[in-house]
Amino acid sequence: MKTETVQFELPKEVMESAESAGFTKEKLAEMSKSFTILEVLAATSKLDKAQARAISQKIKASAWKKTKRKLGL
Amino acid sequence: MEEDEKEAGTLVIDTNVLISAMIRSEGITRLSLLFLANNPSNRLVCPEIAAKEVERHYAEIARRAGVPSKLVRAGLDELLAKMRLVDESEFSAEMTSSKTLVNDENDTSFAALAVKNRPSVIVTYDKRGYKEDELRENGVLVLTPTEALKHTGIELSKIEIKRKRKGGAMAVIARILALIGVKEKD
Repeated sequence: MKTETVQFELPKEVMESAESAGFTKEKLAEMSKSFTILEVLAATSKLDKAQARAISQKIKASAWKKTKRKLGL
Repeated sequence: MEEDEKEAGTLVIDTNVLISAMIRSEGITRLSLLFLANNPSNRLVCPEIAAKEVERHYAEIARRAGVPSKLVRAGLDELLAKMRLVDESEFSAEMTSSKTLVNDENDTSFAALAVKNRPSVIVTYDKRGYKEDELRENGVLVLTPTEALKHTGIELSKIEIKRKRKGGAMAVIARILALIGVKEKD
């Protein structure tokens, strides 16, 4: 996957507050990255609760079938 | 809160939580997962076969969600990367007995992994698959992502969504800072 770098600035006082709460710059950056990716994905997603439930059921059924076969249950 | 609840640091993530993180209105799920994952006292785990099945269904998830497959991969990989994927052989001894702890046989692996790591929490969107009372007796709680977040000590009252008055990257930062309890100056 190709990537792009997006730079933005945080007020120094905000960073100082975050660091005093135990969050390093690196941790804050990592969480921001994860959160942004998930928000963009969700913002464009048309998935609803019923569909999510159906997909999840299908995934778990398939996983359990493979687990039983692997472990000889 | 009971003492055993305070000590439950292992969180078994049900695959329905991962998929639900892609629902637009489930912002709280995404935030809860990120904060659960970034709390150093938590350990997020998932049965490896279940995680692999999620990956195997990326294309179908993308089709149903109407988004590019690469975006689904980027998002779900971001979540899976924060978890330890546990090979089923590591908790095979708990598998048979755990069948009695679930209402849905397909949830057995999650229950067995939780029992193996007790005291622990199963984080799920569908509690109906699990026998909550029996699991509690075995040192396992069954909680939704929001309940799990509260269980680990983050008060929901600190979650102040400031999206309406901020835009772009600063909105993201504002939500994260609000979650960790950092007060912004107006």
